[in-house]
Amino acid sequence: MTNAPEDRDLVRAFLGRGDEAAFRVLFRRHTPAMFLLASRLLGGADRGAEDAVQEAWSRAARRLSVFRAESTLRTWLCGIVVRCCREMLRRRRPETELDLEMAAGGGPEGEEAFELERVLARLPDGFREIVVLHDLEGYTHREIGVRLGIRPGSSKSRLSRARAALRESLGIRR
Amino acid sequence: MEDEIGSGSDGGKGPWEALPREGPYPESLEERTVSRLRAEGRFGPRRSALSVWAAAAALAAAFGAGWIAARRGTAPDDRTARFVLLLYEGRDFDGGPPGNRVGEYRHWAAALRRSGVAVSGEKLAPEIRALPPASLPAGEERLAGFFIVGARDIGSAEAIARECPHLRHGGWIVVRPVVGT
Repeated sequence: MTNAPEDRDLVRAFLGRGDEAAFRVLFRRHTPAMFLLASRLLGGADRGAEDAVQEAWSRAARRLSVFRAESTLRTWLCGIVVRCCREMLRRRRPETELDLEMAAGGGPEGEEAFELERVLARLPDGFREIVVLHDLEGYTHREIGVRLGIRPGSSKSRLSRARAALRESLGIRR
Repeated sequence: MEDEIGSGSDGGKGPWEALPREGPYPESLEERTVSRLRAEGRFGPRRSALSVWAAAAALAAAFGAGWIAARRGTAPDDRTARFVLLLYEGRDFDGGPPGNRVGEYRHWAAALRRSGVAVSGEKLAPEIRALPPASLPAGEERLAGFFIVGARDIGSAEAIARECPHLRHGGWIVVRPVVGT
């Protein structure tokens, strides 16, 4: 039985020899998390998620040499995905408060996980980002503030309102 | 505290525990990404500072000799071959207003150039003169334009072609290697 190569060895092979096979191992290892994160941040838009992930890998390949391993490679890569998605969302039409009300509409249907994904995708961009980063990815409000360029307090209040909309959509009473 | 925000009647992060943290991605994404990185020169032996200077000197010499005459696009580097993407339209082609389509294709080509892929191309007018005249194709399809792209191999060129907006309009693309003469 052979052990899977460590990320750091694969990164070294890619940086040192331009090893395509090493890159492909890294790609297959981390893209499932990166793609799902991008898809959620972009509201379930697979096509946009593909573009975001491809852009993230391109940026990562340029900057891997300065990766300090203070976090895991996956965390670092997901941080790049967040930035790429953020840039894509900025180019979208600004959403209004009405969208949040609309997101709360509609009754629950289907299995729990599927339903959660569905209502999450319906949240306005600025609210969905907070829920994904805080509740799914484990970012603190301080970290979210740095990533999204907002105050930690704004992150907290948006999360609170997003959760209220989600609760209503899922038919959960306070 | 950070977690206080999550302490509600929903039990904090409870509902999210049901959601996966990883998911499937389209199979083509790996090849597309690898092709892009290949075009950006991320694979293969890294050039030493000396070889970079040597390459720069060779490039300057080539430029001085007038070997680089690319009117449009970026000249492919020595590790890429050239491929022509032949853009065909049939009866079902739905391109919308021609001006919009040209802009769309131009945007796609510009994005490719930004990512390091050498690309040039032209749109063809409908007017045709064939010699001898009987050699005109009998079908309704017509060659509407072409792109020439730099890519490592035909698979990479195909991955580039797959992203061309022409396919979204119902057209089709034939990828052929260019043989340097």
